[in-house]
Amino acid sequence: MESFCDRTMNLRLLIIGVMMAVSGCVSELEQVLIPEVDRSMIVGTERIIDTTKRDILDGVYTTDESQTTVQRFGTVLSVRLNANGTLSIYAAQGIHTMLLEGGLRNDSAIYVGSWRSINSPATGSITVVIRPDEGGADVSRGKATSNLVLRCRVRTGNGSDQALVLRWQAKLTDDLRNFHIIAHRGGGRNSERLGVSENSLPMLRLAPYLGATGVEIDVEVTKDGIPIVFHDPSFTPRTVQGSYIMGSVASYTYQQIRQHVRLVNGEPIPTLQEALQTIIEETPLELVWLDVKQPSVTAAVLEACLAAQTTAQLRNRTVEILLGIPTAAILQAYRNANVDGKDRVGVLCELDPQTARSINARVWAPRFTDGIQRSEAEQMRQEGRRVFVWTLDDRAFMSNYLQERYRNGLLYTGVLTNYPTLLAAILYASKVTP
Amino acid sequence: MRLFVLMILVVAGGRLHAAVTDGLVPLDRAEYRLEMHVIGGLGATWYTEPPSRYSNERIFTGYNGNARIMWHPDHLLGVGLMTGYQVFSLERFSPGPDNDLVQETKMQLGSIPIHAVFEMQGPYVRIGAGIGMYVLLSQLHEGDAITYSNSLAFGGSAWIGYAFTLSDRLRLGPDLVVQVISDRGIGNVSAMVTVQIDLLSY
Repeated sequence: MESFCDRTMNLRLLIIGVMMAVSGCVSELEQVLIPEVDRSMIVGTERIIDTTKRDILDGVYTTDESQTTVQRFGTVLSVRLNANGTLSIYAAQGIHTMLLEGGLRNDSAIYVGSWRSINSPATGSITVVIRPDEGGADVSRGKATSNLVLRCRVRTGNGSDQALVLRWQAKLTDDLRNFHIIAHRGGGRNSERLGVSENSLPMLRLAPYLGATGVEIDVEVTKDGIPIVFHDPSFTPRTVQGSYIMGSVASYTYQQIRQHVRLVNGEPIPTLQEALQTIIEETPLELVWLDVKQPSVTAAVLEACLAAQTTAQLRNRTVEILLGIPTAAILQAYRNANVDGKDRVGVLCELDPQTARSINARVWAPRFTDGIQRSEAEQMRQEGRRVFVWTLDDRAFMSNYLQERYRNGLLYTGVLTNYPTLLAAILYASKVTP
Repeated sequence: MRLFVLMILVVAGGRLHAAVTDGLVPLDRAEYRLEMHVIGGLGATWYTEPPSRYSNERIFTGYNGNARIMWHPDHLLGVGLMTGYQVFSLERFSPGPDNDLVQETKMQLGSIPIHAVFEMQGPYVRIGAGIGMYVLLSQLHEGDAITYSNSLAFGGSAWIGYAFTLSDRLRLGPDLVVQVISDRGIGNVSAMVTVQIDLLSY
């Protein structure tokens, strides 16, 4: 007869086996296959870069509720022309973003591009046409109009072709110009489906198209003291490819990291200098929040900020680069840093308001779990500081913070998020001014 | 695939346990033993992704040298600790037209397992499983310079072995060991020789 101990041993073996099996069951995210775009339609178009024309087209649009595409995109979509002339459309429903190329041809505007959902593998292609009598001629002449109609053809992954008609409802209000949608880790921690790695140069280039107007990037330091853009203190399979390079980032020189390490999507790890240069020269981003991870690199980061400011001035670019102060150790390192001109580098303080005051921080950035902190935030605003909050990924929390007012504008003028597209869609749709 | 292999192991483990407990003579009652298992052999390691960016190889051979300290109370069950050292893979690369290397480079991944282990031990057949941490050890040789680094990972092991009795306190036999470090995408199968030494009986 089987003893009690023998029976319990079977159970123990089963439990151990199940634990091992569960640890081996990490599911892969489905690959997103963004369709090829047929650019033949936009041959001969002229990109809309002129600010006046962009202001005409930018706005909140609504669509007829009877259309089949409403189920996917909702009834309110926001349209924004990027500084390089590409067109972005955001839909809060399903967190959709669309990126299109094209421009004006005669008295019409034609754009082609793709749409995709940020939190699912859904994707497809889209074409947008503005006919001459539906605002195309007005945009072409730089004449403001409320008679704008965007006629879209939306193709889904299964090949179905649906109409989407967007009608202009409202301008994007002026205080949005000073609001920062700040993408976490260079574009969003939820970057697995985007095909690019967090804190990579391709991620920085992609961030504006996801709705971001600024980025937060993380700064680690190599064995030989070079600031690199990387979040974790160690190399793990979450962030890098391969099995030989592992453990502490500080174990490796910059040259070794450059040579042997690739991020999960194959990109090299950029230096801070490369990242700032890319932001200045290749993106329309307006703000950079540097999250310094090691006190020892603070002085080098300050020097990189000053050099980047000079580069931006030479390129006639307005990019505000803020040194983040997230901990007491970084604060001490900032105070001790003997760098000429360090006062010219703006500081974003994540610590208490009194510390923000003591270092004359431009921005006070509390975490959202501390609550809205209305009185402290108002006090900061009265002192001429801006107030940002981190990290909002939930629609309800975003809406709550966006409802907080200070004088005629928003109390919080910057939000760090992993979902810049969602924040953009909520923000622009909530700021409708007929 | 990993799930399938692990479930097979679990089922096979259960069946073997039944075979051990039903068909073999149990140990003498009232005997408690402290054993040392010294295990060495060769292994094959597979990676879910190539471990370096210079090659697409995913299967490598290496070697293992481990030791288990097992306490066998008045039962077939033994519990104990396992540790040792094992090399999962070693690759050498030279500068060439298909890579951007500037010097001879050698990369090696080894590990020190630190596992809590459980073993069902009949007079001849043993089956066991371990669970715990691996201290992964990486070496990067570039010319004469060597960079060491390490990292912790969670993993498990399972084995089946057979023991020939050499003397009252000494047994010898083959072991087949499977190891999985799932969050690193590493699996290993090793053919080992195990020497069991009874350190203490009471």
